[in-house]
Amino acid sequence: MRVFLLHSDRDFDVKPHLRDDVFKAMLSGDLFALNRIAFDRQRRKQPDPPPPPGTDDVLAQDLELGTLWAAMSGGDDFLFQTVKRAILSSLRDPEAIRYRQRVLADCLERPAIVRQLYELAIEALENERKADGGLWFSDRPDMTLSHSVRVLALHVDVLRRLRQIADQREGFRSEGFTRFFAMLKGELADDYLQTVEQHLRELGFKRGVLESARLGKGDKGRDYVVRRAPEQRWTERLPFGSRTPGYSFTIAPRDEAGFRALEEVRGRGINLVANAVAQAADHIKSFFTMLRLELAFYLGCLNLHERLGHKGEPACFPEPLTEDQPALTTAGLYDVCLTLHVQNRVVGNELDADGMSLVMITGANQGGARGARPVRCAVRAAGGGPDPGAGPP
Amino acid sequence: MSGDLPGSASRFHSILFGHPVRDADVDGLEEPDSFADLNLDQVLAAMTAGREQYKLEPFFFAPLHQVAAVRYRHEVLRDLERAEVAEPVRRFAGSLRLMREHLTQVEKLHYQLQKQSWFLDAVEIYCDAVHSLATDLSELVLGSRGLQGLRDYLAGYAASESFASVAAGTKALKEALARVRYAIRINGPRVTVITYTGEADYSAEVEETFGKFRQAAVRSHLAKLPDHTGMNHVEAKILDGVARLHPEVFQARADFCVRHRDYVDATIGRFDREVQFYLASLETVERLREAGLPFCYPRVSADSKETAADQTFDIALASKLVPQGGSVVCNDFHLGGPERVFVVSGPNNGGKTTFARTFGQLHHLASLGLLVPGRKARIFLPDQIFTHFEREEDIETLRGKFDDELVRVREILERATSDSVIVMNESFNSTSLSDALFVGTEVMRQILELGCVGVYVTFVDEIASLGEATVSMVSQVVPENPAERTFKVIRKKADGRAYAWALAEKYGLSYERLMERIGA
Repeated sequence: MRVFLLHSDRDFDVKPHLRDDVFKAMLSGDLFALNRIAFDRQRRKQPDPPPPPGTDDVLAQDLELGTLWAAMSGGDDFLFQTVKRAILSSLRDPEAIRYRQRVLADCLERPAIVRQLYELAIEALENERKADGGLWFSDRPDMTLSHSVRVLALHVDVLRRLRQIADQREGFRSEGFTRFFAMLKGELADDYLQTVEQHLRELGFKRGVLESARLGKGDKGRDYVVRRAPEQRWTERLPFGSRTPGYSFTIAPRDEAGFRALEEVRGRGINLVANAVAQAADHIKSFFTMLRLELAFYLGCLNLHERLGHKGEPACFPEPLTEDQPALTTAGLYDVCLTLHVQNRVVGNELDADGMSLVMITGANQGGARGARPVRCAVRAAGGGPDPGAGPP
Repeated sequence: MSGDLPGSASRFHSILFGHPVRDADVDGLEEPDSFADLNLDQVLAAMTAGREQYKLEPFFFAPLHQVAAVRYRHEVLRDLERAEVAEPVRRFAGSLRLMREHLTQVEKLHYQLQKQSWFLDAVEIYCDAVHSLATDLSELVLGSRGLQGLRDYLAGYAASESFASVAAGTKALKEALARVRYAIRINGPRVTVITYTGEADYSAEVEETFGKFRQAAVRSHLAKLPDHTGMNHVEAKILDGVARLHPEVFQARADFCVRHRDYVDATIGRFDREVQFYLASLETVERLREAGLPFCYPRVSADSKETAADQTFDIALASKLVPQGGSVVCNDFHLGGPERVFVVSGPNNGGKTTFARTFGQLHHLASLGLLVPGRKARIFLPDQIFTHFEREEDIETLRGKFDDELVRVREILERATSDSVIVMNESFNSTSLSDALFVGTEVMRQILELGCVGVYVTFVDEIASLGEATVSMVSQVVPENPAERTFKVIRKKADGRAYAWALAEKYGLSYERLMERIGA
C-alpha cells in the first residue's frame, strides 16, 4: 500500500540536502520526534543549525518564504517543516505539477475529509504507544508477538475507518485520490480485514501452539514451524479422551527454569510468526507516516487558501509550461507574503511577458518596484501550491 | 599409480618409520640434554605450537641412526612438499580434529541420546575423511614408500567389509534421523509430543495475510535465540518423546554406538598423529624459505665422517630474527679427510656460539630425517650428540664453576664413542689462561683420540693447532671497523694476531702506517 499523493509514482521526495535529521524524524512515524529535536536543541542552548549555504537561503530570504511557510503551517511545526521542504524541492515537470494541482483541487473541494484523513493518520501513529503494556524485550518472540498483535488490532480499526471514507469519495476526481481510494477499497476489503482480525485472535494461541520440528545437530530441534492445529473432536477435549498417540508431560508449577526452557522452545516456533506480524505493523506504520507527511503539504495549502480567501484575495492554479516555452502572463498577480503582513488587500499587477527572457521593473522607491517578488513567488507556486493571482487571463 | 618408485612397503605400519617401532619406545623418550644448549627446545616449541593434541615431542627426541630410515622420511617430505599431496593430508587432519572435538563433546554432554547423536556424527566425519583421503591419494603419483604404503593400506581398509558396514550403517542412520519429523503441542505447562501429520504451515499463512502491507524493507524482528550445544530438561523430555515415537531408529542408533565404540583404525589413527611431525617441520621450513633462507635434504652417512654445509644457519636464531625482519648470516664449513673438530676462536659476540649451535642442530635435524638449514649438506649420523656449554653456577652441586665444568666434561668423555658428536662452547673460560690451556689441551687430546666429530669454541689459540684433525675457524670483524661483527666464521689459522692486526690497522698502528707517519 502506497500513498502517492505528492508524486504519481513515488513517496514524497525532497532535495538531498533537505534529508536532514529533522526530515528523518518526520519519517520515523514518532509523533514526538520533532518535539524531541527542538527540546534537545533548547537544552543544549543550541540555535537551529544555520542552513547549508546555497541558493535556498538566499531565495527564502529574498522571497520572505518564512512568512509563507508560517502562514501555511498555522503554527504546527510538522506542517511548517513539510511545506518548507516541499516548496524548496519544487517540480520542473508540468505533468507532475498538474498531478499535484488536481489533488489540491480535490482538497479544496472536500477540505473536511482531507483533515479527517490527516487525523486518522495521526491516530494510527499513536497506536504503538497505546498498545504498549510496558516493557517488552525484542529477544522474546512471545513478547514481540503479543505487542505487535495489540498494535495491529488498533491499526485494523483505523484502516477500516479509512476504508469507510474511501467508500464515500464523491467530489474526488484527481488521479491521485482516485488511485489512493481505489487502493484502499481493493486492499482493505471487509473480508480481508476480517481475516486479519481472525488471525490476530488466533495469534493469542488460546488453545496452545502446535509446532513441527526436525532433529538437528546433537538431536536438538530445528526448523520449527507453527502449524495450524486441527479442530479437536469433543472427545479429545476431555482429559481422558485424547486419542492422539503421543507422549505428554507437564512442567511442575515451581519449575521456573522449566517454564523458561519451554518458552524458548515455543519461541523458536513463533519467531517467524512474530516477525511477520511485527513487520506488518511496521509497514502499516510507515504507510500512515507517509500519509500524514503527504497530507501535511495539502493541509498547508488549505490553511493558506483559507487565509487568502478570508481577505478576499484571489488565488488560481497557474498553467505550467515546459522550459522550452518561455511564458509569463499574469492577471492580478500580487505579493502573497506582503498581503500576509498587511491588513488590507494588496494591489495586483498585469504582466504580459510571453516569449521574453527578462522583465525590467523601474520606478520610484516604495512604488511597487519589488514587484519582482510576486513573479518569482508565482514561479515557485508552479510547485503545486495555489498561486496568488486572479487566474490566467 | 604408474609412476611410483618400486618397492612399496608390503604392509604399511607407520609414516615415520619404515620398520615397525613400538609406540611405547618413542613415547617414553625425554628431552635430551643437548636440546636446551642448542636452542632446539625453542625450535620444537615453535613447531609444535597449536599441535599440542598430537604430543609430537617424543618424535623429536628419537634420532635415527640408519641411512635407510632417514631416506624413508626424506621421501615422505618430498611428497608432502607438493601442495597436491599436502592438501588432502591437511584436510584429513582437519576432519579428524573435528571428529575428536565431537568425541570430546560426547564426554561433556549429559543426555544419552545427545551423546549418541554426536558420536554418530563423529563416525560419519571419520568415514568421510578416510574415504576422501583414500580417493585423493589414489589419484596422485607418490614417490615415497611411506605414502604409497598408506595409500595401499587405505584402499584395502576402505574396501574392507568392516569399514564398509560402518560407513553404510552411519549413512542409513543419518538418513533415517533426518526423516524424523515431529510436532509439539504446548498449552500452558502441558507439552505433548506427537507425530507430525502434515498440518498446514501457519507461519506461511500469517506471512501471506500480512504480506499485503509490505513496502520498502523494514528491520527484522526475528529474535536471536540462544544456541546451546547441550539440552535443558524440557528439550530432553521432548527428545525422549520423539524417541518413543520412533523407537526403531533410536534403538538402532543406540546399538550402533555400542557396537562401534572403537571405530578408529589403529594404523590410521597413528598416521594422523605422525604425519603432523612432517607438517610441523615443513611449516617452519616454509616460513624461513619465504625470508630467502635455504633448506636442503642433507646427504647422510653412517660411515663417513666427512661433514660439510653450504650457507647454513642457526634455525633457532633465524626463527627469532625473521619475524622481526632481521637478517640472518649464513656460514659454510667442511671437514674433509682426517679433519674431525672445528676449533673456533675470534672476537667475542662474533658468532662463535651460533656457529657451534648450528653445527649441533644440523646433526640433530639430519638425524630426525628432516630438512636442514643450508644449500647443501653432508652429515654423519652420530650415535649421540653431546654439548658442553657454559652454565650458571648451581648451588646444589656444591661445586665451583670450574669444578662443575670438569665433572660434566668427564661424564661426556666417558659416554662418548667414536661415532658421537661433541660441541664444546667456551669451556673453562672461568679459569686462568694457563689452566684453560692445560685442561683444554687434555680434553681435546681425548676427543681426537676418540675420533669424534665436533666443535670446540675457545679463546685459547693453541688448541686450534693440536694436529691434522683440528680445523681452525675464526669469527670475522669488518676490517675497517673491528668493533663491527660480520658473524661470518671462516677457515683461518688462529695465530692470535688476526684480531690484533685488524685493531692495529683501524687505529693507524700497523707497520706501514706508522712508517709513513714517521717518514713524513
